[in-house]
Formats: sequence, C-alpha cells, structure tokens
Amino acid sequence: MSNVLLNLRGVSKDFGGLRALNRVDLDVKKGVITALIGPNGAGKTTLINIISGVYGSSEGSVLFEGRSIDGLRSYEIAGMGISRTFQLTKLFGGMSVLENVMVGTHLWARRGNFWRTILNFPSVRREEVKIYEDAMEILRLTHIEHLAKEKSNNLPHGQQRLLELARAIATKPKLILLDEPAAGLNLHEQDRLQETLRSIVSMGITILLIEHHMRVVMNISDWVHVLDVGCKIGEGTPKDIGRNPAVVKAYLGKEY
Amino acid sequence: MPLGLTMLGNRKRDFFILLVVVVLLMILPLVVGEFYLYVVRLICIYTILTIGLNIFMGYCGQINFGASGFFCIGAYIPTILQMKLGWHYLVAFPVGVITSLFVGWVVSWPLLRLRSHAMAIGTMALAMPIYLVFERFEKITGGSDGTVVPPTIFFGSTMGNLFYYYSILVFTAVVFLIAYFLADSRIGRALKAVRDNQDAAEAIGVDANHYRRLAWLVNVLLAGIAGGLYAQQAAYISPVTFSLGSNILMLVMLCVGGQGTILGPVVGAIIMTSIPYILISIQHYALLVQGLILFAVLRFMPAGIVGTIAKRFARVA
Repeated sequence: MSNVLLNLRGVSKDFGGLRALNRVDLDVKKGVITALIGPNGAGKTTLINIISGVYGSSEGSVLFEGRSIDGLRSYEIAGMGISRTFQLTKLFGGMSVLENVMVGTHLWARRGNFWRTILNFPSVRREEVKIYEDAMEILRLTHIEHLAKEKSNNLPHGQQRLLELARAIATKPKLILLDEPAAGLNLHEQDRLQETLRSIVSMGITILLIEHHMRVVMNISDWVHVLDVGCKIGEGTPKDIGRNPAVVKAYLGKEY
Repeated sequence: MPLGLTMLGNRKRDFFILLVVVVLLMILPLVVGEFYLYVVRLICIYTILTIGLNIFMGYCGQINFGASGFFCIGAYIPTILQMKLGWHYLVAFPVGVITSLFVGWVVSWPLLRLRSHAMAIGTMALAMPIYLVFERFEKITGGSDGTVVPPTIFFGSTMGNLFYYYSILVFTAVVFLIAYFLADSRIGRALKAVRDNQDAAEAIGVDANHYRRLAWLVNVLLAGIAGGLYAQQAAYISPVTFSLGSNILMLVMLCVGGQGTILGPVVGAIIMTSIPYILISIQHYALLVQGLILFAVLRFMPAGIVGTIAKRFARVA
C-alpha cells in the first residue's frame, strides 16, 4: 500500500509491570488528517513518544515510508521527516519567537557548518536571509508574525502552542505528530487552529493528532483511531466512530 | 533583519565599532606606559578565556569547571617544548593548542555521557586537576616553584613586550569575530536550543550531543590559545595560576558580563581583571570589591551587565 505513510505493527509498551500499549496496529495515510482519541491513560501520548523515538517499543515495529525506524534516536527520526509537538509545550524559552522557528530549519538549511560560519561565507549569509524569510512565512501561516521579536517565554499559552506548531512546520516534515494542539485554546483560537491545520495538509504534510475536543476532531479529521487502556478498540471515519457502540461506551458517551 | 541580534542589531556598525576599538588599542602603546599595556594584555587573555566559556556555558548551557586545566596545558606544553627541546615558539605554540584540543576531545567522550550538574562535576574531576599533573613532574616543569618561559626570538633579536601586546590583540580580535559569527548562526541557534530544552531540540533534528561536543571543543581550543599567549607574555608560569581559582574567576567574569551575550565576556573580563590594579593602593580589599560587584550584579542585574542592558533596550524598541 503506497499511500500509507506510517505503519505500526503490533506495538506494545511496558513500563515495569504496566502495559501502556498492547499490540496496537495502526496506519496513517499520506496527505490526510488522522486523529487518535481515547480516554485519559489510553496510551495516546505513549504512542506518539514511541513514533518520535523518545523511547523504544517493547515489541512490534514502526515503519515509516516502508522503512523501520525502531531504535533510532529522536533527532534521527526527525531527520527522516517526522516532526512533533508536545502535550506540555516545550519551547526554547530564552530565544525569540522568530529564532524558535528559525532553529526549526536546522535539518534542511545546512550551509552553515562550523568553518563556513566562522569565516562568514557569503553563501551562509544568503542562507540566513532565506531562513529568515521562510520563518516569517510560517509565522504568518500560524497567525503569530506580529510577535516575532517577543521572547517565547512571554507568550500566552495559546500562542505558545501555535509557536510550537510553527517550529514543527519549519522542519519541512512529511508527518507532523500533534499532541493535543487545541488544549487550552478558546473557541475562536480552535477555529483558527483548524484553519491552520488544513493549510498544513494542503502543503502536502500528513498530520496525526491526539485531541480531546471532539468538535475539532469531528470537523477536521479524515480518519479516527480510538484507543482504550492500551488497546485499539476501533477506527473509521468520524461519522462511523460516532456510531460505533464500543467507542461510545468507552469514550464518547451519548452525545455523539 | 535578525542577522545582528547579538550585539545591537547592525553588522556594519558592529564591524566599524570593532575596527575603531582595535585601532585605538593599536596606538595605545604610543600613549601609555608598560604597566597599562600589561593590564590590557591580561584583559585580552581573560577575554579569550571567557568567550570560550561563554560558548559552552552561555550558549550551550553546560557548566565547566575544567577550563583552567586546558589553559594550563596551553601554557605548559609550549614552555616545556621550548625549554627542554629548544623548539621555536611559532612551532611550540600550535603544538600546545593541539595538545589541549586533543586532551579535550578524549575527555569529551566520557564527559558527554553525563548531563547538567553531573557533567559539571565531571569537568571538575577530569580537567581541573590537570595543573596538579604539571606540579608533580618537577624535573620537566619546575614543580610548584614554576618555570621561566624563554623569550621569543625572531631573526636573532629578542621580542619585547610590544610584540606580545600586538599578537595578543590580533588573537583577541579574531576570537571575538569568530564568536560573533557563531552566536547568530545555524550553529548558535542549535546551541541555544540544546540549552533551553534538549528534548525539544532533538525533536526538531538537532543532535544535542554533537553540539555539546562542538561547544566543549571550542571552549577547550580557546583555553589552549589563551594559555600559550599568557605563558609567553608572563615569562614565568607556576601551576597555582591554573588552579580552580582561575576557573572560578572566568565564571565570575561571565556572570558579571552576561551569559549568552556577545559583549558579556569582554565587559566581565575588563571589570574583573582591572579591579585589582585600580585598587592597587588598597589591594587587600580588591577581592572584597570583586565579591561585592558579583553580589550586586547577581542581585540587581541577574542577566549580567550586558544581558540586562540589552533587555532594557529591547523593551524600549
């Protein structure tokens, strides 16, 4: 299947005696928004951490574009084209908003190695201009370009989340993993976020997101996977998921 | 444009200011006596040391208690090579720097397995006692009494203090420029990313250990260069110069000037080096004044003198 970007086969994760994930199979299709939902403690963040290389799985394997990424360090996985955001934002607090995005270009803007940098090569200076322009473009996309010179620590929570998203986009990834991007955003900001996510997908980037706001999930995702206590209990289009009795019982309640 | 965020924002103006300062320092020997030139030489050497420490500590966020060890290697190796083997300074100096870099590279492998405070202790354990090694081998190094450094000779004539003054000045200007370019570049951003959040840095593809090693090696390299310059102009070195105390002095300079700023090391080195000479009539109190300055800066300007002023400017602009 050539349109599957990410493929998890029987992935399990044990923390001591606790089984956080139990033989999860999961496909993420190229060019669409896939959501991962489930009650607290279902193992959603654990799954994202395994994909992004924060820790390894206990069994099973993860294939990205058909190649195994088991055992790779997280910067190597980022180098293959998987970028992520964190549930609790992890920004570079001492740097400006603009610099946070500029450092995201680290993987592909490679002119500035040590020698060329200390000798101030013209090619390095030209690349700096390119990095700057790209970073500003991404800030515009995420609607925070007016904050470019602020220190990232001083931003309110909602904009910190957008900045983290902007930084992830700056790596020019093939797949972005978003861990609750809408958490703590008000309704207006959530709508803005959906708009931004759609434009990210239109850039050809695939999205896998964890989200608790069902309004957001139902609106933007093309495919939904549901986890409960470490096991996958269902998948389908948002509409199907709303009617799936197992999912309703475990997570959604009667409303959907 | 972000291209000059490090100093005050404009590269052309920065270069112009640097040029003016260097030219002024070059004509200084015409105006003032040997004593002042000696103080300027010391300030320059400590500037080089503190710039190195700033790249490792201020930008990369790692603590180093071992810089004085590489300062020591950079000073002793060329001296021994000149004294015992009769090498010329021009050959002995680079060999000293390379030795320092090599030892730093070897030590970096166990060291980088540690993180944060454990690593700070590691630097202390692995590099700080280097001066004790030189103290032990009395026959070669003169032991704790120290050793005389033979003067540099070019074409049969012995070089005087003016030669050392100018060579140190050139080295300082070059090192400053290198740090200036590094600070606001792809590498500088990667270093700061590792400092601010190592997990997030790795998540966007920055190999944290690679950049920690790079910053460490730059630190070690500059300490080695400073050592070679120091020994030659002092004409006499003893191990106690390179003990933990000198490393603490570098840390104090960095904290007073401002970590992670490009001018911080320069300002810190100027203040802390010149205090004992300004207060020469009441020299018993010099250490006390240095302590008070450190205390006052940490209390009222926690980001260091340059760091705090830069912040205030940013708020106005």
